[in-house]
Amino acid sequence: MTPMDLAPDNRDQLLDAVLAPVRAAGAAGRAVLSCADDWEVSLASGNVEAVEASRSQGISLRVFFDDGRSASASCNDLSDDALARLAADCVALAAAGAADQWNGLPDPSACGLSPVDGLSDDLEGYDRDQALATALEADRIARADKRIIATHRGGVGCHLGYWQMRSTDGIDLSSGGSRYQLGVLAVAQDGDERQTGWDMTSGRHHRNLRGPEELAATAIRRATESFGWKQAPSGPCPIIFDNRLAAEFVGLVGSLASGQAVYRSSTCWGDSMGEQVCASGVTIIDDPGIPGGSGSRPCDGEGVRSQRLTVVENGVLQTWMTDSYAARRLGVALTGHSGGTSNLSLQPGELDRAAMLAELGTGLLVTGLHGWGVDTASGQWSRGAQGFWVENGEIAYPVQEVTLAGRMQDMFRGIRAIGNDPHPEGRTRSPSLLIDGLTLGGS
Amino acid sequence: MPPRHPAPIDRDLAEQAIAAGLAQGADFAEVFNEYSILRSLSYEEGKVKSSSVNVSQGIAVRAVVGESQGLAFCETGRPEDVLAAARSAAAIATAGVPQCTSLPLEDVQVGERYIIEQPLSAVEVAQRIALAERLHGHAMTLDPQVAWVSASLVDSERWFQVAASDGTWAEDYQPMVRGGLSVLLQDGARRERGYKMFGLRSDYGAFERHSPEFLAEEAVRLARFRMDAEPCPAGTMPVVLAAGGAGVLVHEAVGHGLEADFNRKGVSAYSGRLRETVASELVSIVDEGVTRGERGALNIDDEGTPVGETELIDQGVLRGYLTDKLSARLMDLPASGSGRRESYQSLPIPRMRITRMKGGQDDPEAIIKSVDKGLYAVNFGGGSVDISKGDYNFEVTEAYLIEGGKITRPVRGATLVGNGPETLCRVTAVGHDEKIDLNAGTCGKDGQGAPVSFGTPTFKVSELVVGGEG
Repeated sequence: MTPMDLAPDNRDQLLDAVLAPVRAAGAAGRAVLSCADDWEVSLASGNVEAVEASRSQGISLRVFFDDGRSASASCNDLSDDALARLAADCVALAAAGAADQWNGLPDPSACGLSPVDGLSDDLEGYDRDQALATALEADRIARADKRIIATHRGGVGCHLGYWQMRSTDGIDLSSGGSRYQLGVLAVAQDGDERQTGWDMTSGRHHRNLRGPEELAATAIRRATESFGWKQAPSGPCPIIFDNRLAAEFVGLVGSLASGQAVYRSSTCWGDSMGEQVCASGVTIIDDPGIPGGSGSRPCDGEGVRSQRLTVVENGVLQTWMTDSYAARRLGVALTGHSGGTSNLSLQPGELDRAAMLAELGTGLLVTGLHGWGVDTASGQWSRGAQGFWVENGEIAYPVQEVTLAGRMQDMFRGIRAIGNDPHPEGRTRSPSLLIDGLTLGGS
Repeated sequence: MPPRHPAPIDRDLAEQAIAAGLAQGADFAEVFNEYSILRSLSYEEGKVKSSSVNVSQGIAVRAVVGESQGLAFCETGRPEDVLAAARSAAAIATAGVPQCTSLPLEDVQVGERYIIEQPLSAVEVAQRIALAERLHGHAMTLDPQVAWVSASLVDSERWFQVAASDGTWAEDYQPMVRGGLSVLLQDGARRERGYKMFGLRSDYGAFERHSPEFLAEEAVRLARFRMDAEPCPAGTMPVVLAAGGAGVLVHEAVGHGLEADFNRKGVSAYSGRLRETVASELVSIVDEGVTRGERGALNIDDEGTPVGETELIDQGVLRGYLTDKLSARLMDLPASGSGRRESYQSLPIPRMRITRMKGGQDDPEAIIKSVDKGLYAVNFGGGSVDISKGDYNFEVTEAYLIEGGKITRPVRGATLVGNGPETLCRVTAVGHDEKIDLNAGTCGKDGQGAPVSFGTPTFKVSELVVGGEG
């Protein structure tokens, strides 16, 4: 089944039905039809907890008057009446809006589809019974370990999506994609102590997913490696983020370098274009063209053609990531980032885990982060943490119930070493990172 | 009189869908017909910045056999599509023939916990713009370092009908008004933000009870606090938590751990502990949906179960879990009316509503005086919990050092972490000043957001880990 197969036969009429009243009101607009087919099975301790399967559709509309007054609307009822109401309501809301010289459809010459391969495997060779059996196998292997008392929140899922975008200025684009996931979460017990560990694999091609043995082994390892934990001593200490947490950290760049955040003065990088925002040697790239990449896309949410962008080169901030509003307002290049980053990655270095630990010396190897105390305007970064205390390059004991606090500006400039181990999946990727400048709160 | 569901289904179709849901051998089937409208407005730089309306509808059929559930939905109201969804959901059972029939559908009596005098759809956009302008305009005047103000108003109306093979026939109309703002102060290269939002099951009369001017003053005050405060020190220390907002600790440390789905599967830190002492005898906690107009208030849950007050912990002893119909049946527990679903696209699961620690006997000022060296935590951000361990965390956005029993220096950027059962046993003082926090909290669980409220009196925990840069 291809993404196109989800598209209703009357999609052209639907999109025209929504845009006609917009034109009649003397406004410009962009309508997007989305269609999806979703299947998900969730498992707990060998039982099928839930099977969820459905098709969904919807249309969203953005309307602009010449002076920039604008509004948005959406609905998932595709009947004539509902679409007429959608257009009328959106036009009325836009008419009541405020003029804004930077608001409008993007320049049509910037719009189109950049070539990108592998967005969908068309569910080729995908068999739901087989996929469920694989998920049950990961679950069974995890529970076969005597230390594991239960599994839950694991399972398997498959999503196929199609979208078509049409604007009053003649832009007409469509694309689609597939996405699969498989995961297992295990709960381990040792005496009075309980820990959890999970692993998940996801991607656009089901044949590339990692297998049940690897998932179960990683979940078991994570669930059992922290027994006998202690708190670590309070005070400043260098840390290593493992590759998953480093990727989450690098993901902040999507907000820090966002054109929308810059004009609102809500990024602590707002005054730092062309400056050293990261340690030298740090290069961060957003690449929407990676074949089969989870974040790959031929265009952004406004239909602006995608392009590869070096955001940070050797530590120096190169560019903002913009949508059409921010690009006009700031007078900078339109980069096709309406909706956020695509495949964002921090380029790997040379150091393996042993070398990273040696470089760390004494500090915390962080394998888990909790909480929300992060603000890209002030740069505040304050979270609960867990991991392993390292002494003189050797792992000493597992650590939990500690906090880490610092400022992101200092953390990005404090990247002292870069690992060679980027996580192979996900829209945002990074190798492990050794970072100075954080304070640990513990005992 | 609440407005009627814009696209209702009749009893006939509901009964047919239920029968189709039971056809393969399920022991329970349910139809859920939802229609929702979300209206959103943001106001910045002295004008409307964005404005939207989103309408969503769907009819979901759920079939349950043992511990397994099948869910399928359609987004048209056409009977053939509803029945197709029912057949898809029914396939969770494999007996091939029905094992039970539906009870006759009977109306569920629904409370009146929402404050609706003027229907939300009757509010003119000009009226909403005027409110947003007040929020924004007042904030702009309050501090010379105000660099950006973003005011927002979001209102939603959600209708649902639910019919099930246990004889449930219920419907509700659920309004929510959410409003507030974020303010950014700038001093050279330093930027700090403050937020104040509320969400209430009310019409726009909520702004007469909590004025835009008050919200603006709070947001600016919190941004100014962060600008002027020192970094919080890091270490383990006693913490006094101020009434209201400290409910985030109760929500994270205890609330999630008492949701029955985790306990049924034996994965919560509170599993198998009913009737045991899990907290200091000063601690009593309830989860209720009855306090009128609150964000977490509910007439019925999304399964049609009437909502009341559920006792969770009474003087330190664990008395109950939060159940949906599935957990209640499998665990042989009372149905607490805690089955909530984000929309027709998801399954109901046990969720919190208004989670409250009950007031005690102590004088809040005396509680502070009792601490020699510690922290007074007054305003809070979000948090999270690992329910298997019971380890939780949350952000503190306004706090002060306590030195020699006195509140001294303001400190910022604190994260508190702890273990739920341990923290509850370390509650050594509980004030008499219980209050529900005014906020717009959305709880996330299994990818589903649910609007919730919480509240506490002032209370003291003898030892918590405090994280900060200082």
